[in-house]
Amino acid sequence: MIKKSFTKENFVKWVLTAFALSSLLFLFLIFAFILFEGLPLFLKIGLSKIIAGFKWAPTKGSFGIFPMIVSSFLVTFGALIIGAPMGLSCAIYLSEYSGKRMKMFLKPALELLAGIPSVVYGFLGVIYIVPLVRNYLGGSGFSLLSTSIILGVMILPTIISISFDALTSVPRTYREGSFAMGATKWQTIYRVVIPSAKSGILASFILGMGRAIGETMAVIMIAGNALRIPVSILDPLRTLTGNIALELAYATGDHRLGLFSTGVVLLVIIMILNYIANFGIKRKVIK
Amino acid sequence: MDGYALRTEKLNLYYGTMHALLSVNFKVFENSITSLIGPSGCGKSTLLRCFNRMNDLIDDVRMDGTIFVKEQDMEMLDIIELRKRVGMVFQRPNPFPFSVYENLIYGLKVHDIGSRKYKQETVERCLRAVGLWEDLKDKLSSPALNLSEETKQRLCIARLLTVEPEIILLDEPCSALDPIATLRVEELMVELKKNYTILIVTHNMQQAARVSDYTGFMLLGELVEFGETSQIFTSPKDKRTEDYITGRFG
Ligand SMILES: Nc1ncnc2c1ncn2[C@@H]1O[C@H](COP(=O)(O)OP(=O)(O)OP(=O)(O)O)[C@@H](O)[C@H]1O
Ligand SMILES: [Mg+2]
Repeated sequence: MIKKSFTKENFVKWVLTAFALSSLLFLFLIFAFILFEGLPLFLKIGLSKIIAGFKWAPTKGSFGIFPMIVSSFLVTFGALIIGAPMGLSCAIYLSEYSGKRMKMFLKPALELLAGIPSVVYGFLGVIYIVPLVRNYLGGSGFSLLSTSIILGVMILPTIISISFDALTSVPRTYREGSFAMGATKWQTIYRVVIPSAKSGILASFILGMGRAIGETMAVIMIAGNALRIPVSILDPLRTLTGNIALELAYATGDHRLGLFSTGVVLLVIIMILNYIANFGIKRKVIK
Repeated sequence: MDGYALRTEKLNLYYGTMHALLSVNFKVFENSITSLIGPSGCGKSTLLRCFNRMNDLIDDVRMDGTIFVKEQDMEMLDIIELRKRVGMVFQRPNPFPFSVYENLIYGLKVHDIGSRKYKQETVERCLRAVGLWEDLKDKLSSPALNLSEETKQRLCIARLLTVEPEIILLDEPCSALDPIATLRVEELMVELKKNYTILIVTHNMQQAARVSDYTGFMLLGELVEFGETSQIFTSPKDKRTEDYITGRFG
């Protein structure tokens, strides 16, 4: 009897292990697939001509994606400029100031915000933000600014939830020590709590960047997708993700391979961001 | 002795519906060490925390009665000013996760006191006062969290001294320390008595007997007996005090 239940336990364990490993397998397959499709063009054209090339004319043999790399970083930083202060303020409010009832209301609202499909954000952007920018600031409205605003909102849940965890895990004894010396609440927050949670807060920004740089649907709807480096915040731009999504449907031959190369670059950037968020920063915490 | 540094009159405190302090009349003389003893949960920490209003941080706390700080009604005092005058050292040493130097100048920064030079002098003076200057003078920029528990606790005391409090509250300051470190911190307290008034909560009766001039014994939220330490430990007036110090309960 005991033996039988033991084997049943083992069976469950093996099934779960298999499923767990299969997710790793998917990750591996995605990597292998993108590298397999994307690398040949790097070998044929040359790394520098792709990532440092200015001209993207894949049917004529030019595969420069430098403007898109720049654009992707621009919208990402734009999103951070908007999302980081808002997100951090919200996390501070939630962890330090809000009462229990407010927290009970705000947390599900944030989860909802995270769950809204990106096409809805894109839609809102086209209907409201783009005309607003066009009418008040000029240009077509499909721009770096509009995209940054929408992405800034989209990365809020990531920034808030991770910063919130970082802030609430600051030991109570630090706060008590500060209050006991006559510090006010705000002094305690910005001189003790925030510095103590610094690495978690930075990690939330980096993961927010990862989310922004990978966002596609909302971006192609609002960015204007022009193939050049924007010189003003009102200029349209095309990101790495946008490039792939816009052209994959009709691309063939080298053009198709060029899109995979775009994917390889994107993947590398996201891996670097994740690495920084998970190891570069966390290691400091353990120290 | 001089006057009272702290005094309470009919102090009652409630955590929600829990009556944690029962009409406590307690006093602390200036430039003395007073200890509070009693079994776990009797309200020692609660009473201690009243004196720099740390209980304000807890929701649902209600208080009545009067507390006097140097014969001034506490109600009349600004909370920031009060906490500067009445500092607190906690059970677990709680230096901030910054450098030794940053920890020490925290109070000065918060109260916007002093030039750079004054800060440096204060750091030296306070580290000397707790006997750490020789050990730490070359490690001012190293992280405070890497220090030993005893050094951390001394650092926390030094951190308090920087804002020149009049009264120092200590809540079981030695419970995270080994016996030798405990003795050294006790010596420090006796040293500090010259310039400060000290109120210490302790579980350790030998400690109370060793360091303090006056002792209060608490039981179930009541201050059962208060008097000179020698009297409390040799000829307690209350049966319950006697039972406690002879180890019959608690
Ligand atoms: N924040 C709180 N909310 C509700 N009740 C509390 C709170 N803090 C303490 N109490 C209760 O008040 C009583 C006195 O607590 P207090 O911490 O003052 O005891 P103590 O004498 O310091 O005990 P110990 O020796 O264990 O530190 C205890 O019964 C405790 O459960
Ligand atoms: Mg206690």
